[in-house]
Amino acid sequence: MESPIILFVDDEVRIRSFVRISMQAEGFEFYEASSAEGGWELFKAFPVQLIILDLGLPDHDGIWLLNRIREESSVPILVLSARLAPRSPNCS
Amino acid sequence: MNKIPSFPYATSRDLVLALIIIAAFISAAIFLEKWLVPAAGTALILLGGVIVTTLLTKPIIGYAVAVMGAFAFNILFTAPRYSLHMQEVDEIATLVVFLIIALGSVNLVSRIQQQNSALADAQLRAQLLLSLSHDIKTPLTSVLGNLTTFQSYQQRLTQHEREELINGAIAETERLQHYIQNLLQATRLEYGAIALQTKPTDLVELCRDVIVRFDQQERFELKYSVESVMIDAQRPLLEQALFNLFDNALRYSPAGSIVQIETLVTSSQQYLKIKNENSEKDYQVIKQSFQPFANQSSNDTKLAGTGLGLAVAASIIKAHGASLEVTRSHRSTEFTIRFETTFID
Repeated sequence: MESPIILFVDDEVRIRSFVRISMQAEGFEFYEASSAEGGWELFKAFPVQLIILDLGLPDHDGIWLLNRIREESSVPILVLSARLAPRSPNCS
Repeated sequence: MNKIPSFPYATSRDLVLALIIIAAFISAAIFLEKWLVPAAGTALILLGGVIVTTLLTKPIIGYAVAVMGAFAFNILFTAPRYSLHMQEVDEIATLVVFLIIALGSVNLVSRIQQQNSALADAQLRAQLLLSLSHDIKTPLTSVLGNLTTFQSYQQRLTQHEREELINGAIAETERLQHYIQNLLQATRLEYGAIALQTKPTDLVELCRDVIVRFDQQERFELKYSVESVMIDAQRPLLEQALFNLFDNALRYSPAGSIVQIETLVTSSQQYLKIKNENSEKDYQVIKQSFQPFANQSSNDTKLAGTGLGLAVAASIIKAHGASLEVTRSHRSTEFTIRFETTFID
């Protein structure tokens, strides 16, 4: 059985680091990006089954990536953020 | 945060402004007197002068102008004119009512201003808490995440992964420590608790010492026209300011790009320039970030927290009698520190 694929988009290298190590230890196939554009490229390249997304990204807002992904896919997206804004209807 | 006193002292600007306002309102009352109900109309105009003065100056001046208005009403608008005597009962009643309403209005305006100050103070405190919670939360999450991952999976991890987790936790702890140092420094500077004890310091050597504190030393390019540029400085403090500026330049420029540090000397001034590539968006945020905790909003981008480091740097540089300015050209941001009174070896 193939490992589920997780895409993690966050610009904090240390947070990516421990999430990657723990996810890989749990047997997930893990891809990571530090920017929204990078996240989009990886989303297009792999059949991702879960996206963990930070909203504060250096190139585009995380919501930009979320909306772009939602135009093409209903893949579950888990948003990680310190932002105090209302939930986007596109978050699941 | 600075406490705003309930009754701040009046300045000479306030006094001059108050005199101009009340003179203008008295003139208007004299001019309009023939078209107004004799006593009540002029009293209302003077009351307007009292309220405008209080709004534009200080409550203490408002009280003084209220009393002054009462005298002006008595002397200029009641019979017999140009005297403190009063004969008409309705005019005496108008004067009493004027004085009560004028003093009451000043009191009311003063209370509203105090409430506004308290609200601004509360908003600043809320902003500080938001800033603290966000900027401490990110490194703390990293430390906790790295250590709990290490604890939970250590048997299954490679040596390289274990080292990555431990080194990550150490680096994030250092980041947290640096943030807290800045926070303490910002508080001390805010309360004026730092008295500078300066010594002749070599700026070029100081730059070198700051650069070696970074993991990515190779990204710095230090240029200088003379080997030694002497300035008067309290070394640890200025080192912290430079560290914050260098750190800002490193973090908010493309990976692998060069940060240029340059010292320049003229006959009367020494300059230190820090130049790095970055986006217009980053530049705008940096430009607005010179107030402590200024860049807090609902935003959680990597730039959160920049304000504190830059504000501390700016305060330290200012305390040294130097100036700091930020400019933008050719897709780069440049910080220039200008030291005025120094000497050169």
